[in-house]
Formats: sequence, structure tokens, C-alpha cells
Amino acid sequence: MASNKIDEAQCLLRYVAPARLRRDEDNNVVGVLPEAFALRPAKGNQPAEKYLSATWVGYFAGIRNDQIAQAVRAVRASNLKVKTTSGFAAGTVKDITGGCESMNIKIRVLHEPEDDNKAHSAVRGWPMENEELLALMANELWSEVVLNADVPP
Amino acid sequence: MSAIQAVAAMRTMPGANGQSARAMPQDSISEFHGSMPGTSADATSAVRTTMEERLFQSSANFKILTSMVAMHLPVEWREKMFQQIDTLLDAEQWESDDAPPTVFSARTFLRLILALNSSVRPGLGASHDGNLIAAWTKGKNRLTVECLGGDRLKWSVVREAPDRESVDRIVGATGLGRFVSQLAPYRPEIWFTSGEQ
Repeated sequence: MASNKIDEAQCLLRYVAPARLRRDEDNNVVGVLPEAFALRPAKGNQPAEKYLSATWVGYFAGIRNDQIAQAVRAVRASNLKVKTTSGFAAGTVKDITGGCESMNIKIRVLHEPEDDNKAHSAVRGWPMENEELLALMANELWSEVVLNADVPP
Repeated sequence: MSAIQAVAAMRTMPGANGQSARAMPQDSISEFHGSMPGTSADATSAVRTTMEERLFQSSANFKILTSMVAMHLPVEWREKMFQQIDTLLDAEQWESDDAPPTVFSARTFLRLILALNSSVRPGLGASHDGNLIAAWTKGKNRLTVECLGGDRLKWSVVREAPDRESVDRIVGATGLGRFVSQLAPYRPEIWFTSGEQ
């Protein structure tokens, strides 16, 4: 599998399940929850996730909003079953790696295209458990939310 | 546990008089140990039932537990919280790999709500492994609490300093009994009181 480091100025988009969106008391989406960035632990026959999956926005042409829309469509077209009320968290590689470095965590952000998503990227070195890091990402560094419903087909 | 049993259990709760009230005394919280609805089913349901059935059971368990402390939650508050839980557990929107919230997490969640005596409902979320997550948000100020079984909590706070020039960030894992005091230095009234602070 080919992989290339993604430049720090680039943006990553991570799928966020409806249950991991941060909501207010009236169910309005106001962000993402820290758990949105947790690696999935082993369960039954499924092994634990080894890296954090995201989609490289800069793989697509156009201005930022168009790129994000194309990235959302790429995820929808992948094997991932995207829920209608789900969302996506956007953040720059620089912010994400910087946040990790502030906690002495060394990550690599790699373009690792997959058959069902050519813009797929992998954040490798992501810790299996680090509540502080997950909170920092969700609250401050990887916290821009794009609602799936707001991106036309 | 049937609804009839739940009502019976509710009648045994201290202060049960059918009226809505905001605060639940600490001794009442400590006695909220009633029978756990659906606990025996939880262990085997993964094999025997569909996800839709498991989500329905999870929602029912939450509502039965809530009914046991209904007298401490205003009717409108309770009804809106049920709407929130129904939205969260909508089978169409649920990730098939996720475990529905457990009755143990629901119990911790409700005991947290009663202990905090908040007039603001939290936003609801869930972890991969069946824990409810309560989130209060006021601008940049964020409180997130994951409710594990057995009154255990994992929480994080982002709180602007009084000068608004910097923020405090903290994460913790603690039992419900110590949570309120651990939260106190972060002026939590911003999350639990309606209106501007």
C-alpha cells in the first residue's frame, strides 16, 4: 500500500457518528465529543483499530468548501455506512500534530489510499488511550464540524 | 423489571409523593439502588436479538430507571430528556458496531443528574462500548462526562479563566461521590444555570 506524508498545511476530515456529535440540551449540534477521536478497541473477532482514519481534503481540487464537499461525498461512496444525521470534523495537520507534540506524542499523517476512498489518510501513532488528547482535539484543534445533511449529494 | 415493578420500586423511594422537585437529597441519591431493569437480558441480548431490539431495550431501561426518580425531575425536563434519548438511540442512526448504552451506565447517568441538580439538561452522546456521555456547552466552556457503570465517571473540562485570556483544561476519572467537589474550582454554575453568566 502506497503511503505519503501529508503536508502540515493540509486539512483532514474525520467521520463522526451521530452519537459522537456534541449536542446541546435541545439536540442542536455544537461540536464533537472527545470519543469521536478514540480508536475502536478489539471486540469479538474484530481487532482493535491501529490508526485513526480520516479523509485528506487536499486530495480534491477547488476552494476549501468544494474540497470538503467532495471529501464528504468520497466518504459516502466508500464502504462506510454514513448516517444521515452524522457529521465530520475538520482540522489541519499542523494543529493535530502540534497538539500531539505538546503531549510528547509523535504521530505521522499519511495518505493511504484505499480502493473505496482514494483520499483516505491514516493518522499513525495515535494512542489507544489518552483522554487529554481526545479532549484537546474535540474541544479545540480538530473541532470544526460539517454536518452530513448540509452537504448536497 | 416490568413497569409495574418499577412503579412499586418508585413508591419505596424516599420522598416519593408524585410531585416534581428539583433537588434530590444526597441520602436519596445513595438509596437509588433499585433493581436494575434488564440486567439479566443485557448479557445475552447481543446474540439473541437484533440491534433495533437492543436499542429499544436500552431506551426502555433508561425510562424505567428514570421513572424511579421521576419525582425529582420536572415533567417537562423528563419528557425532553426522553426525546433526547430516543434521538440518540434511533436505530436508523446508530452505528452497528456500537454497543447500546448499558443499564449500568444509565444508572450512573441518572445519579449524576440528580447529584448535579442542574437546571440545564446535558446534550447526550454515547461511547463505542455502551456508555452514555453527558455534555454541557457554554461557548468555549465545555464539560463532558462519560458515565461508566458503578458510579464511575470519566470527565473533561475546558473553562475560560476569569480574565478570558486563557483557558484551564483538565481531565479526570473519579467516582460520582467526589465529582461535585472536584468540579467546584471550575465554577460549574456556568453549565448548570440557564441564561448568561
